[in-house]
Amino acid sequence: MLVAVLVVGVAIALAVQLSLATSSTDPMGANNPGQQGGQALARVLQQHGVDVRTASTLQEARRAASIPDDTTVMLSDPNGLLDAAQLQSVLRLGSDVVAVGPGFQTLSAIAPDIHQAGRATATTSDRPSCSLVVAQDAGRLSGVRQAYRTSGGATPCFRVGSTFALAQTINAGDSVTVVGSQLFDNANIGLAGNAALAVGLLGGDSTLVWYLPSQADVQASGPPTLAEITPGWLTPAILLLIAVVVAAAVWSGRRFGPLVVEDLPVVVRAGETMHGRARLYRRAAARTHALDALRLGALHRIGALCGLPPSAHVDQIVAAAAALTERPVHQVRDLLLDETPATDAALRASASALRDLEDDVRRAVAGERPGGSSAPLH
Amino acid sequence: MAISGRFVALLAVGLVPVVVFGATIPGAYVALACWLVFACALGVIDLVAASAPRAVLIERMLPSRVRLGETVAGGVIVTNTSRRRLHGTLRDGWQPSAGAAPSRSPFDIPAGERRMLTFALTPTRRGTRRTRFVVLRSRGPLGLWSRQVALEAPGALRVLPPFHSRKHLPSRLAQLRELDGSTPVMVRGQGTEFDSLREYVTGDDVRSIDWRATARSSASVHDGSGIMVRTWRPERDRRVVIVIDSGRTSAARIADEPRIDTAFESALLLAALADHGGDRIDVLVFDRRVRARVVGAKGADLLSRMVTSLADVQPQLIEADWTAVAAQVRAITHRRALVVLLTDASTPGSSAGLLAALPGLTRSHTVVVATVTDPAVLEAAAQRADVGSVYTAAAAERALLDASRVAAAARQLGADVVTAPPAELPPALADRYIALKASGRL
Repeated sequence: MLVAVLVVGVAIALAVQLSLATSSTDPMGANNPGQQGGQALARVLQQHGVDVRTASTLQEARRAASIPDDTTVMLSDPNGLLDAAQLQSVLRLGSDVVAVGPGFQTLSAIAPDIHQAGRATATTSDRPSCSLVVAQDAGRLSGVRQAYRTSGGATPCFRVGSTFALAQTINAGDSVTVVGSQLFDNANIGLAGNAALAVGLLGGDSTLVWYLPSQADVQASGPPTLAEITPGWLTPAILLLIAVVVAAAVWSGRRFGPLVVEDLPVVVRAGETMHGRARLYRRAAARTHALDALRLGALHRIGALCGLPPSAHVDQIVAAAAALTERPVHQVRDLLLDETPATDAALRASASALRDLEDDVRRAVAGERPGGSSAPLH
Repeated sequence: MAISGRFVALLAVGLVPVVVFGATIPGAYVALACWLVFACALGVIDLVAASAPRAVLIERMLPSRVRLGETVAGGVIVTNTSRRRLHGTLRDGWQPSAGAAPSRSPFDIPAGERRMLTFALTPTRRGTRRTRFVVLRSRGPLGLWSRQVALEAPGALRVLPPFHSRKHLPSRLAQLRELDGSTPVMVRGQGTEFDSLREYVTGDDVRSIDWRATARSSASVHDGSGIMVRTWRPERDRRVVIVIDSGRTSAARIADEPRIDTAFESALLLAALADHGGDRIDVLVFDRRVRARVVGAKGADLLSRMVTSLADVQPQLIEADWTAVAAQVRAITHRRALVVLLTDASTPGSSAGLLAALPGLTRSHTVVVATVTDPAVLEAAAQRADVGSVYTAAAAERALLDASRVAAAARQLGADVVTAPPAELPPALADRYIALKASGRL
């Protein structure tokens, strides 16, 4: 059971694969079995002994139409890929040309007497009113979408409302027949007299060139390339400008004689040792050491201000400073001697207080009242 | 060879034919090639037509000396010895610190004639400024290409120390004159000399009354008081030896002036003053060798010789050898002299050699140690703006303490110490000299 299902599945898959490989999806394609394809019509014509030769480029079509007098050309160019000159050469390929669903430009090139008339007002046409034999044989048409109108010497056929489903123009013995695009596809070929008309129109000669123009037919045209619009003097002008730049570089770069050598003195800043020592104090957080240096300097200066000899004991200086500034002795002693700063902030506060004390002593010695700045000590 | 901007412009004009004949690509290339050949041919013709720049004679007109900060005019005389007109530009190869302006001078000299090209020299540095060559660029008649040649033409300009401190000289000379002559000197020192006798006037020191002369004169003179006083004049013909340290510490810049320049300023002021004071001045610049030496000069010649020999002295990156200084001073004079040491005595470490050599000098001479102090250190010691500046203040305070310890040590060894910021050291040293002279300690 399982094996049977498997075999059937494989067979279906193979069949689909094969059909996909050989079929196309082009509208009106001779081997397109889909709704829009033309495979049904092509097969029927082959069975009737018509030599159906498919062509996708103009060159292939030319090769296929070996005997123009006995050749019918089926042209389906819904995208309007061919230009007017190519369409003229298509007309020369065979004695009869059937254009299936031509666009406006195609139509005006191959049959200027036939005009687009928009969408058909009904899908079924009247009985043919024209004298075409194939039309009389076909009777009514069904599945009509596009309608045409004629002027001049063109022959309209199959009236639909005030317009027609088919139009033919004959010039110098060669006929150009125009029909709507969906009339002959696989979906509509079986309706009413469509098949009879199709076989009548396309099977008249022994060879049918089934020509569906492709991208390869498009004439390569567009804006000109950069090389085409570049003037001939551009590259020499660039070379000349390069020469000018080189000459300018030589002009301004040429040295006016040799360089002059001069020995310059070394610049030694005197404060470097001081700053280096300050950074060392800071990195080592030597607060007490730093404060002691400040205290020593302050003691020297205060001692000198108080008129004490350089050999004076520190207690004498403290007492003299306290007396002059009217501060408590222990406070001045703490500041000048005993205090140990624990943080950088404390160090800074002590240093500032030290300077204030010195300023106060200086002011007191000069005869002013102490505490002018009234800075707190702690 | 050199090309000019005119040649570059000529090449650029070539765009016109290239575009005009550039309808086709080969036409454009032919136009380009023709234009390049045309321009280069013009250049070659111009080069050939240019006068040979080697066919010239170069002479220099230069003053031999200039004081730093002043401007002198210099000149180059170019003689055209060729048979063609010489046309172009000249560059004189002065060292940058000679401050030559303009650095390039255009010239146009007919055949066989000569022209002087002048320029101004404003040197920015003391010492001998030199030029080794001049460069001539001889232009062709079209001014496209030129010939260039560098010709050997050495020249030198000695840039003397500026002697800014001479502005202090008049006031110090006035002080010196007050000491001189009939003014009785209060303190009679070892070195003061007897000048003359005159009658006592109110205010004279009674200790200067010469009783023996009074006894002699009162017998004959009756109209005055009859009391005679001796007057003294400052000692003269003393020797002053100025020793300038040119070792590594003298290179340090204080207030944007190297210590050695401050020392030169001080030495020049002191020398000018002492020369007027009738003393003999000898100057010695020394580190491990004698870098400059002025001995036995007097008057205007002294300052001239001093600035000339000091001009080229630069600080050496070696330690000064103080043990040899005593021998150098002894070589100059055997008599007692005032020895002025212009050096750096700010740290115990760098001053150890000086302190070790001082006793040998103070034994036989009066010694003054003059040192520049850094005003930036004093400023830093008062800073309390943030934690960093407090540490800097501590370091500055430590530096000040070090300096005061060195000064105390020098004083203990019998030397006199003068310290001042750079601008104030020369007058301070001059004042110290006047004070020593007044007290007769020379």
